[in-house]
This record gives sequence, C-alpha cells and structure tokens, in this order.
Amino acid sequence: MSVRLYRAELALLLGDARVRWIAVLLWLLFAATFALGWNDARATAGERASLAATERARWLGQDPQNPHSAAHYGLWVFKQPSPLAVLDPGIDPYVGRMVRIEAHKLNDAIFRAAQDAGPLARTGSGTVADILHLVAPLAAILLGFSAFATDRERGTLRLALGNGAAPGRLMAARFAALATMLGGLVAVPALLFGLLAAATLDTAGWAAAPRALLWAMAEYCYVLAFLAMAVLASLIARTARGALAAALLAWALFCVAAPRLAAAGVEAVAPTPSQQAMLARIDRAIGAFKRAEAHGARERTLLARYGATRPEEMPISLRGALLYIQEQHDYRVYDRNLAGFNAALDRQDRLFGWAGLLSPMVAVQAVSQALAATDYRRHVDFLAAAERYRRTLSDAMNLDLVAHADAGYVGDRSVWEKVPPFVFAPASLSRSLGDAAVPIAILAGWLLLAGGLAFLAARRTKP
Amino acid sequence: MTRVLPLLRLELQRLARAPVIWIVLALLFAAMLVAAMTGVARVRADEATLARIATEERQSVARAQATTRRWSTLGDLVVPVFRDPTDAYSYFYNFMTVHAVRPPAPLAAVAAGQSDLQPAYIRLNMSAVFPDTAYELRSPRILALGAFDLGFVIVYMLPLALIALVGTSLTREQDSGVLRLIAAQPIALRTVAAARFGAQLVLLVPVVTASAVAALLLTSAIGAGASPAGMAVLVALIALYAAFWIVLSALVASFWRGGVQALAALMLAWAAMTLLVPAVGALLVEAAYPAPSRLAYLDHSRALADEVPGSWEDEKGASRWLASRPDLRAAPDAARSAEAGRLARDVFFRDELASERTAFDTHGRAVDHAGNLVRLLSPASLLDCALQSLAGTDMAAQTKFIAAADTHAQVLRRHFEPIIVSNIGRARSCPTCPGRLNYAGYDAVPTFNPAPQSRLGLERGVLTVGYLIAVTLVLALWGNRRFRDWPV
Repeated sequence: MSVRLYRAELALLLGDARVRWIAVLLWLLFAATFALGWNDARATAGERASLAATERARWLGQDPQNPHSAAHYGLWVFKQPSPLAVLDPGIDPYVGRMVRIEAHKLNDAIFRAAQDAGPLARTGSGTVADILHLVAPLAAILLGFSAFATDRERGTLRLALGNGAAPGRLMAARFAALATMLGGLVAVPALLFGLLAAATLDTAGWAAAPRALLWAMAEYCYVLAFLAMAVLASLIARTARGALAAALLAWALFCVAAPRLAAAGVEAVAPTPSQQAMLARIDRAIGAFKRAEAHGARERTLLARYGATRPEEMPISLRGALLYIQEQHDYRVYDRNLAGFNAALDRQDRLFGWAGLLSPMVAVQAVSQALAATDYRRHVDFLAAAERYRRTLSDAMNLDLVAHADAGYVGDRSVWEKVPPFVFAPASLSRSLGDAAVPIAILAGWLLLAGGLAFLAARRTKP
Repeated sequence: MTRVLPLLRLELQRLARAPVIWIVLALLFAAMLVAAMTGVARVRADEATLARIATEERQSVARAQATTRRWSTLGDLVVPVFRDPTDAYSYFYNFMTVHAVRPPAPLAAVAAGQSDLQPAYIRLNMSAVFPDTAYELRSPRILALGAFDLGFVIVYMLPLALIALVGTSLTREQDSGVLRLIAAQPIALRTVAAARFGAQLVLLVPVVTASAVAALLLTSAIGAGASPAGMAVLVALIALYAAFWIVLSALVASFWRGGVQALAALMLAWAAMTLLVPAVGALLVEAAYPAPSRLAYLDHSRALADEVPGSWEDEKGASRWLASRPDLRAAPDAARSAEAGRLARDVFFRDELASERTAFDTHGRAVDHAGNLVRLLSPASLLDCALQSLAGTDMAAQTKFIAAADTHAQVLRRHFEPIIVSNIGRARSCPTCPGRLNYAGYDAVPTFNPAPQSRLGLERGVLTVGYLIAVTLVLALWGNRRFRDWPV
C-alpha cells in the first residue's frame, strides 16, 4: 500500500462534508444513549447498594425467633450489573433484577426493566450497542459505497488505472483511509465510552477496562466488515446507485431481517421448554413429599433411629431435622428439573452463537453481550449464586434448629450472623471469551470473507 | 386520462414481465409464510400451556377431594394445619390452584406484540405481595431480538421490498438519460408518472396484500371467532401501508436528485420511521415519565413486614379488620386467631402498597399514551401498534389482563374470608379424624373468566386506516404537484 496514496485518500475524506455529517450524527447518538444509560446506572447502583445494606441490617436485626421462621423472613439479593451494561445491556432488561431468598422456595428474579419501559423501547435502538449494531454499518456503507463506483461512472477510474495505479494498491489505500476514518467515527468513541464507564461505575471484579478494549475492537471489526461489503459492492456494481442498493440490501438483510429470523430459527430447532410444565412437575414432586402421611413416616423413622417414642426424648430437634431433610429433598427436585430447563436454554444460547453465520450482526451481538457480561450465561451465574446463597441460609437456620432439642428454642443475632452477606463474584474475562469463542471466530470470519472478496474484486477490477 | 390508460397497460405489462419483481415478491411471501408459521407456533404453545393448566387445576381439586375422603375416617395421623387441604384457611393459602388465563385472540398469530413479556396465565398466589411479577421464562435473547412475526414482516420488510422494486422509478431513467428522450415526446410528465406509479399500485398492492392473507390462511393462523371487520381492517392496513410506500417513492422521485439520492432518501425515511422515531420517542418518554422505583416499592414492602409481626400476631390489627367487616360475623375472640391475623395482615399489606401499585399503573398508562402520540409521527410505528391491538397483544391488553388477574384474586379472597372466619373457634366435626374437614367446596371456588377481546383493537385499526389514507393522499397530492414540469 502506498503511504502517499493513503494520505491523499485520507485528506479527501477529511474534507468531505458527508463524513462530517455522519460523524456529528453518530457521535450525538453515541453521546445521548451513553448519557442516559450511564445516568440510570449511577442512580440505580446507589439505590441498590443502599437497599442491599438495609436488607442485611434487617436480616441481622431480626427479633429473637425460631431460626426456621427467620429463614422464612429471608431477605432480598440484587443483581449487580456489569459496568459495561451502560454500553450494551444485552438481555438484562428482559430478566429480573432481584431475588427473594427464603426457606423452601426457589423464587424467580423479578421486576424486569422491559416491563416498565413501554413498547416503544423494544424497537432496539436506545443503547450505544444498538447504535453501533444498526446505525454504524449504515455509516460504513455510506462511506464505502462510492469508493470505486462513482469514479467508474465519472470515468476517473479509467484515468487512474490508465496512469499505472495498480487496482490492488488503490483499493488498499482507499480501504485503509476509510477504515481509519471509521476508526475515528466508531472505535474511538466506543473505547472512550467503555473506559469512561469503567472509570466511573462500580467495576470491582469485572475487569472492566480490558473488557471495554476488547468490546471496542469487536465493534470495530463488525463495522469494518460492512465497510468491506460496501467497497465490494462499489467494485462490482456498474453504477453508484447499484452499489448503494446492493449494500443497503445487505444491511437490511443482515441487520434487520436476519436477527429475528435467527431467533425464529433457534426457537424452531430448540424450542423453549415450558416453564409452567417444569414448575408443575416441581410442585407435584415437592407436594407428594410434603404430604402428611409421608411426613409422618419420616418422623417415625427418625424417632426409631434415635430409639425415641416422643420428640422430647431425642437429643436433637425432630422438627429441625425434618425441615432439613425436606429442604435437601427439595434441592434435588429443583436441581433435577432446572438442569433440563437450563440446559435447553443454554442450547438455545449456543445455537445463537452459530446463528452468527447468518449475519455479522447476530455474531457481534453475541460477542458484545459476552464482553459486556450482559449475556444469558452471566444471568444464570447470578441466579445460581442466589440459589447457593438461599441454600446456605436455609441450611444454616435448619442445622441450628437441629442442634437445639428444646422445643421453645429461639435464635438470636449470633445465629443470623452465621449467614454471610451475599457477594456475587463476576465471571472472569477469560470465561466470557471462552463462552463467546464461536461468535468471535464467526465475526472474524465475516471480516476476512468480506475483506478477502473485496481484495479479489479489486484485483480483477476494470474501469 | 385517455393517454394514461394505454401507458398504464404498458407499464403493467412491463412490470408483470420483470423477473426481479416476482423474485422479490416470492421472497417476501416466503418471509410472510415463515412469520405466520412462527406466530402460529407461539399461539399453539400458549394454548397447550393453558390446556395443561386446566388439567393441573382439575388434578389439584381431585387430590384435595381424595385427601378429604382419606382423612374423614378415624385415624391416628396428626396433621399440622398447613398440610391440611380439608381446612378452608390452609386450602386457601397452601393448596388452591387457580389461574387467571389469557386465551390467544383470534388474530394473535399476526403479531406477538408485548404478549411475550407476560405469560398467558398467572397463578393466583394468595401469599404474594406483588401482583404484577408473574412471567413465564422465555429465552431473554429471543425477547430482546423480538419475534419474527407477520407484523414484523409487514412493518419492517415490506417497505424494504417495495423500495427495492420501485425506489429508483423515473430516477433510473433520469440517470441514464432516457428521461430526456421521454420528455422529448408529446406527453405530460404527470401522465408518465401516473402511469408508472399507478401500475405499481395496481400490481403490487393487491399482490402483497393477497400474499399476507394467503400466508395467514395457509398456516391456519386465523383463529376461530375472528371477526370479518377485524379481517377487513387488517387487509386495509396492509394494502394502505404498501400504497403509502409506493406513493412516497413517487414523491422522492419528484425531487429529481438521481437514483442514489432517491434510494438513500427512502432508506433514511424507512430508518427514521421504523427505528429513529420509536427510539428517540422512547428516550423522550422515559425522560418525561421516569418509572417509579421498584427498589423503593420492595423496600416499603419489607418495612411493612418488619412493622407487622409484633403488632399483628396479637389481636390489634385483626380486631381492626374484623370491626371493618361486620358481614363476616366473627366469633367474639376470632381476632386472637392466626387465621384472622393472616387475613387482616394481607389486607393491610395491600392497602399500604396501593399507592405504589397505582403509581406503577399510572406510569404504565402514561408511557403507553405518550408512546401512542409519538407513533403519530411514524406511519410504520402506528401500524405496528394497530397490528398489535388487532392481535390483542398490545400493552393495553396485557395491562388489563394483569388487572383482571388481581381483581380475581380479590374475588377469591372475598369468597374464602367468610368461610375461614366462620370456622374460627368452631369445634372439629370429627375430632378423631386426621382432617379438620371444615371445607369441601373445592368445586365452588370461583373460576377466572377471561374477558372477551375489547373493541379497542378494531377502533385503533380503523383510526390507523384513516391516518394512512390521509398521509398517503397528502403525499400523492404533493407528488402530483411536483410532477408538473419535466426536470431541467
């Protein structure tokens, strides 16, 4: 690639009013969506931290009472969103944000932001990631579609090639200049906003800065793929109109139709299992175990094991032991049923990774959510952590009750303190990268394919 | 007029012979077919869930009745009250399985709307503090992407197909210089434009409309009970929307900026109507109507829970509640019972949290209303909303369903309160039976009757038809005015 040619192309682009307009529009959209997301994240983070502390204080401040009653009183735990959720909230608006921790019940995470946002918000262009995934490719197309087609129409391409400019070198210089420009329009603001989020939001354990860097790189690769497509169209089409039409058609198919088509395809290949059916199965299994006859049988077995005829003769609390046994049974029922359900949703998620083959947008969405830690797997991490915590709390209370045979026993703060505060450890960056390995590879494949085809077309280009 | 008709016939013949037209239309029809199938699959899944729920409810009643039979004979089994479905209080809180259900509307397969955010059923949990948290977990990624349904294909993809087919009409001739040749003929520009865009209207509007209807019919997507009026409005909406885009293409062409600019302008218009207006509108609505804090709501409920045990386990709260309900004819010391305490506490919670619930409802209505105003700026967005309303899957329908479910929970409470209170202090009918046997009216529990689909969908559809007619006419008149002279 000729550096002089590259500089000349870059200078031309810098002087182009169209580029300035695109830059202003993109930056405005980035700034507006980021400001709204960031403001909301700041406000919610403070409120959430305050309520989490209040819940902990409530738990510790309970009056002396039966530990099992304390487990029923329970507490709430809250999902701590990734700092990069202000860039790409991913699936977060569609899943609950808080879970009630209590004896016996594995509760759903409740209060989804999408419920409060209204239907307009579902059009999918209210976040920085939405702008990057939908609008930035349009910017790339508008920059790239005329790269060769306009010259061909004007006859200046014939002039350039006639003067000895090798098509490959010309293409390399133009593509590099356009890519540089696109870097300034897209990659730089993406990185800056990512770093700003990392610097100003609670980032403990999230590896926010490296995530932001990789996220910006992934987004840049994505728009470069569209730039390569636009340049390819420009090289192949006879007119600028044809190049623009082809590039816009590709955008409409890849960015508008393909993502929803992929969703329909994934649902057809791996249908979402019925949560209602699963909950009914759980209810039946737990209900059968809780039946008074079955409960009486377990009671008799326990009394016999301790050679007692009445609960008062036992060295441990019969009630506590029965509650503990019941909880262990319920855990197994939940695990058995949820394993199948979660495996089905996980399979869907993996299929979405492969669905990136349909469109670079599907691929970049998966990569973006994984890097922003707002994908389904990170939500499952939170749910799993909440359920582990519920079991810790429930077992601690039940075992304390078991250890106190006195029927009138009440626990106090020292018992409540046996339950540590809820701490959620975010997944490591390497785990997120591992989860997104397939869509990352597919995204790279899209870039290589579009770029490779453009270079092949350039070598064969004729005026 | 006499000159237009022969030209129109020629244009129609040209259009009908163009393979690209039929390729694009075939692709569009394929998309409609897939979308209709997706909608039907969603509706069938909801119907299957509702059928399972009905079975589950029947089985639950059968189990309770079997327990009553088993425990109404002598036995030494000691049953704690919370495990006894023959006790009205225990049955109400621990065993009763009643759901509010939302059967899909006849045109539900047309658009998923907001129905995927809410389940087709709500299990009425009498211990629940928050009435609006039920949902059936679906893939959140699919929720985020949105459904590939007929509504999506019509609102988003139909315009793209039309832009591809007609977006460079006349401007293509302008770019190639053919327009100069035409202008040299003794014919008015308006005649040429009328024939060109008229032919597109005559051929494309019926074909895309028929394609949508065919897709619905072939996939059996139109449910029983679909009203002819609803179908007529649906057909009119699709036809008018297609006409709107062809007329818009004509208007854009009348600016004579060449094919590239025409395509870019149409794509920009499409992006603005389908993405930009709704997105900016959503941001403005969010800024104007910030959602009340769910965290504060939760905090208040917890503060109430802290307030309750000390004062309500004794008779204070229960006495107050019983005094407010003379219709219950409670026994003199009923206020001391756990049953009265629990019932009274639930009422207390509901009353105390009512203002927050109202705030959320008000916010939801305000957001929906403001959103509808924003939609007036975008025919695409307005059509999207109309299709959701016709399908009975719009936000208003979901909100109504949640409210109806909550109302039914109160109906159940009113049904059980007198029974539970009358049992307080009453001696067991069979002291040596395991069951308390004070309740056997499992079959008499009020069932939820889903409300029929409101006429709002139809009304909104008719209004949107009027809106599309008005906008299309304005654009057509504007275009006609601009096609007065040949471009210089």
